[in-house]
Amino acid sequence: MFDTVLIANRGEIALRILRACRDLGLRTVAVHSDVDANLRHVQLADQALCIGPGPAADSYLDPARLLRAARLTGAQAIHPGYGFLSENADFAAAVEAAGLTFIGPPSQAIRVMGDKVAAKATMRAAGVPCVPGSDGALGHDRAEVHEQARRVGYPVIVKAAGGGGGRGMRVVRDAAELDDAVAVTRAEAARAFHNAEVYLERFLEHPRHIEMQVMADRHGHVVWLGERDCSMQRRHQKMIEEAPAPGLDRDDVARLGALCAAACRVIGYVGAGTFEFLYENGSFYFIEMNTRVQVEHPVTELVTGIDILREQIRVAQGHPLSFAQSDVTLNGHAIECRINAEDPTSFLPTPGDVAAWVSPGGPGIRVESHLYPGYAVPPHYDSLVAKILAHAPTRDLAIRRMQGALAETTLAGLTTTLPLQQRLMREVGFRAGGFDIHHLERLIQDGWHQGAQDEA
Amino acid sequence: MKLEVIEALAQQLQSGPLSEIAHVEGRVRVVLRRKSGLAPGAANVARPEQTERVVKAPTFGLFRPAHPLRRVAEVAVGDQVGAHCILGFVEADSTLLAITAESAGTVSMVLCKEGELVGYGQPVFRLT
Repeated sequence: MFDTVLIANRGEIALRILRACRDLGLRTVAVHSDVDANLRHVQLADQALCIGPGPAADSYLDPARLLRAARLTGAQAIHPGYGFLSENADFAAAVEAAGLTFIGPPSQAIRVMGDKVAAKATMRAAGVPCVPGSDGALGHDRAEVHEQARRVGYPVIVKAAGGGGGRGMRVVRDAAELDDAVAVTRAEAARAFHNAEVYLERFLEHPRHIEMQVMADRHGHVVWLGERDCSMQRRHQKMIEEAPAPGLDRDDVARLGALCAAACRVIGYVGAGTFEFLYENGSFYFIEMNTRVQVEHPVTELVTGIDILREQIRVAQGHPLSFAQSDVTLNGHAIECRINAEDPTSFLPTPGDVAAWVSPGGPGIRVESHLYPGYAVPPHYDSLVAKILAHAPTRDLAIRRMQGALAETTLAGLTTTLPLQQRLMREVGFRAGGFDIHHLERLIQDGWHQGAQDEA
Repeated sequence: MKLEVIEALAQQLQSGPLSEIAHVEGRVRVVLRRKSGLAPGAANVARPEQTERVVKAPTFGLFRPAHPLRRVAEVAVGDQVGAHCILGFVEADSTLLAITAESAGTVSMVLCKEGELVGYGQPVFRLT
């Protein structure tokens, strides 16, 4: 069983991993790039080692350097955090082959869930609901295509098999438009992608992003820890996460949780993981699985009282989960606001020096941040600098506590999304809950974030 | 004074480490001086002997003052070394990476011990 953990990440999650290791009495090794020598967790780790220059390709994303650093420092386990190499099946396999412990699922589970087509097929086979579709290229028999669309249900979206990035797709709301849409998309696809194959899927107009946290050990125990609503997004980047998701039927959530747990058994999953779904009109549709700990995991920790990082590391040591499904209960409501070092109107990254940092406190407030006065945010990496969380018996009180926390946060020297989060806490749609994943983009398009009108 | 002489002096100033050239020819004295903005660090370059510099590890690994086949340290304190001279090695898995001096100088301090784990960019030698 390992007693030294190499933290192959940076920023707030590296600090979170360090604290979990410390609580478990484990030695920590912080590996870092040369521009990250002043990171908080590097100062606190039992051992620190600079492994390369600022660009992530030559430091945090280089498997060979990480494995060499583990050997040189005597670390027997590697925690990948999120991002970087956390969902790289080849890296996980290399760690396993080196006789070290990858704190995460087996590389084989990462590989299956990392392939979108294989993941969807596996989930469907396990009974997890997916977006209904033609499951393959459409044929040239018009009657058959109509039958497929009818079975999937309107509105449908016709997509080019070779397309992507929003190109080569057409929404069809009525059977009368179907033939034309298929023909035009085919012609476009042939021209643009040299592949005339098209397929169709149910089109979701106003989906919410709902995700399910799961944990599994090596002894066959799998539990689900409830859902998070992460619908407040901008360009697929989550801004606010909360648990539980407002307005969901608790029986539906329990059924979904049980399905996700069953799917974990099918793929031999171990550790912490998240199944992501789109949710519309009472139905869930699987999008993908994140085979790692997520940025927003503390939201679930607050409402369940379970330390996900601690359990994840203990499971990697070979221990059984310290709790059973029947021990998991939801207590109150939790919200997380991401504070990014970026311009709140243009959303461009804004690296710089932290002139002042006073984090908030009080009942139900939790802060995950590596900031300190004098710290310089380098331009090379993700712009997340702090996560501010509020927990309370009700959603209303959690919002109230979050407003207080954001208001008392002093962060000078950096331009951040803090003012945007303050506005969002007052925004009508957010206050009501249950908004879709396009809500924030719509607000931004309407110029709301530039402060024309005030809200509730 | 011929114009060619001044041209030659200017060229010398531009290409060399000097920040100022004074030239006397009979009763004519010419002083060519760099604008400070044009040659940042020119003063340092002009007198390398008097500035302390550190030589950093090119990668992370175990510090080896000697090549394993020679068993004698490449340099010792007091040694004069030329630019690009090998001062020691970093053992990274099965390869040895040379630690080389960027410029000439005298080794004034060895900052790491044999077999010590050094980080990427960590100062290993001090030169004056």
